Amino acid sequence: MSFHIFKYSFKSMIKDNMALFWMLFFPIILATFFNLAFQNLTAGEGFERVNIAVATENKMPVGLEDAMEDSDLFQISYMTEDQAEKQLTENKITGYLTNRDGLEMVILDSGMNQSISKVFLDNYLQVSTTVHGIIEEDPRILQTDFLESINLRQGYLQETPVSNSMNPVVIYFYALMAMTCLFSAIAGCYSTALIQANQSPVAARINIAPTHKLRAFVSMTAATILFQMSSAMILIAYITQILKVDFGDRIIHIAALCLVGCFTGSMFGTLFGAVTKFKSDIKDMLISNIVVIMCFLSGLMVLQMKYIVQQHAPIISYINPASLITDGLYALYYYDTFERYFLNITLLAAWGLVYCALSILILRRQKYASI
Amino acid sequence: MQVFKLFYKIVPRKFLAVFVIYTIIFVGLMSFFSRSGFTQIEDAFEISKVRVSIINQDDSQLADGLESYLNQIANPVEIGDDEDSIKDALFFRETEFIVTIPKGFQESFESGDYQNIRTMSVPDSTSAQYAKTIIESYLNTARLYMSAYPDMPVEEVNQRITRDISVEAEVSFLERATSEDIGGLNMYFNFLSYIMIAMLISMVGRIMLIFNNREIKMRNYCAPMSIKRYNYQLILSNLLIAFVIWGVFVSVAFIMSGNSISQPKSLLFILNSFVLTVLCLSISFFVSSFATKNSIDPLGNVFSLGLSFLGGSFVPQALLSDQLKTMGTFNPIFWYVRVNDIIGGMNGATQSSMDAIVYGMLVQLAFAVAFLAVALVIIKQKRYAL
Repeated sequence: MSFHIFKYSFKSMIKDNMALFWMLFFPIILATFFNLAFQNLTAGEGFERVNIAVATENKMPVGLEDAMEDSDLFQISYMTEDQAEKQLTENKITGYLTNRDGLEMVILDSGMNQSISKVFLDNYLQVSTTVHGIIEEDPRILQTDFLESINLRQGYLQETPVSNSMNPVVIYFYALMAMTCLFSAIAGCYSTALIQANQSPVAARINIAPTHKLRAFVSMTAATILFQMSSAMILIAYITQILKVDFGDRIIHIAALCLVGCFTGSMFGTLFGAVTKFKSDIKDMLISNIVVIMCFLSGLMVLQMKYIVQQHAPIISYINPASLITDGLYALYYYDTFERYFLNITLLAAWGLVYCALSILILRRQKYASI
Repeated sequence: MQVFKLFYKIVPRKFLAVFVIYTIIFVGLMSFFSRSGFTQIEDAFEISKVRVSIINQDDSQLADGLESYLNQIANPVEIGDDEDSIKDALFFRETEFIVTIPKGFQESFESGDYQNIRTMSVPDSTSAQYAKTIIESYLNTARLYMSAYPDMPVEEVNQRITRDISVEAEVSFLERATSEDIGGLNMYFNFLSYIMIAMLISMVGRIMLIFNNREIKMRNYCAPMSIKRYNYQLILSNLLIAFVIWGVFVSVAFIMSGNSISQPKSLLFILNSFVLTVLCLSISFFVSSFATKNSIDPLGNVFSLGLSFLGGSFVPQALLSDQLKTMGTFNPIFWYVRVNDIIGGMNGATQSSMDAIVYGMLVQLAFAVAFLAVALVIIKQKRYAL
């Protein structure tokens, strides 16, 4: 009997076009949009040498050009001031230097590259002021090797390598995975309507049959989870194989997290269906909106949201199943250790069990003499 | 005016909630974005502020001097000092450069055999280069003094550096029209395209579905009213609701940003969004001509998200891939966002930019006419298939 209910629940889900669209095709379409639109999102972040022109009319201060060359920060070109002005208006260069009455940088707009150039020039002027000051105070120093020891760039800094996987765009895809898993809540909510005799005629029919309610419930939930898990797997395959988004190589861990996510999602839906008393389409609307809000808080629309929530209301990121799924995937991608992943998956499972226990307590032993 | 009256009986009953929800989401998102968006640009050179977090373990004169210099020129960000929060902050770009000044830094710096300052950053990023330049600039000056006056106390070195680093290079701007900053407004109107389509499809589209219902249509057509009149009233009602929505969002734009409405750029934005409203109305009319009660939600979502994602409403067009830019020619929203960006970036009303703006608006109107024409054909086909 269990298998019978399982089979038919699953069949009816596959034949439901709406369910198929929202739970499978919508995430795939959204993933495609994300991929197309976010491809170059972090491209502007990488450092490229600042294109700067030096006007050839006047001589530059001694040592400046050498220092600029040595710094590896600039791509220097030489041209007349008129040419430089033209190139600047066409945005081919960041700015140009002239030395008519003192060193001057001409630019079009404020910006990062302009700031780098300015700080570098400031530094050059400062060092020359300092050197002049020192020499004026004590000319004897010229006889030592002081001037030779001046070096504008020394290795004071040592870079500690972080992870190479630093692309924040993946958070969008992780939140999307969370959404796909948690959409099982809609099916979960629907399965309550199929098991609770006062909610639908089908449920009334099922309750007449001498199948134990818990058995029917477990079979339906299993069908829901199987269905949702399959669509999550299809989505993962699509994202990693066709869109080539990096999900890391811990595929078993990812699958486990999705499975638990589907379970928690469908239990959440069941509980919601059992507790609330609305018409079925209003229930559907409410539950899908709740899921989308959860995903919003974990970064589906604005990826910084996940960080903001974590900083200002950490409690939400431990309660919200979407955050737990997103964070679990993030931990797999970014962290070398598994602690954070296991914390997330454990919490997620715990919430699932809590929802499950509550739903069973509410649903059990409700009998109707007449409806 | 029976049709018109009926229309406005349906709207408040069924769609007020939709309207309120979309508005709240939109305003909420926009005010969230605008934390960084709506800033006034000053005339003078504004140095870019890189987000730097300093973990100062040394607490010596030199380290403190460096810290306060960095705080001045960069944007200090407080983060937790455990490894997880450092890594998280860096991943989400909350901070771009993390500096750890090790204990005993000053002592070793004086002796010449210095300890390195440890840094963490997004690999190969511009902001990291920038922060490095700033730090090196400070330490270079310190090193100079120390090698010139080995006996000078660190306090004095610090004082002298502070004096020296007030020397700055001249920066001048090449003829730049100074005007009110409208970057925030630009972003708002770009984002508006998504809300407009989503909202009009879910409101106008659904109402049209009610009117297109077979039984209701059969009933309405037997009324002693010409089909022409019936359709005119429907069109009028649709236009009215679209323009009310447009009016609301345009007012919200200026209330939120505080920009003045009378400057030419604002007027151009308003004009462009008006064209957008007509376009979106036509798209929702098109969608409702073939959608059913069940499929209008999925269709509406795919249309609104697809057109706006690929058109650059969420991600600036400059960051879209070339492939997508080519595809964008077939996307009316792409043209809308492009016109917005031209308006936002233009320096005074030059002939070339005005031409581009007018051209972009005409293309949008052409799309609107095309969608409407296809919708009318479908509706006509369906009428005979009754």
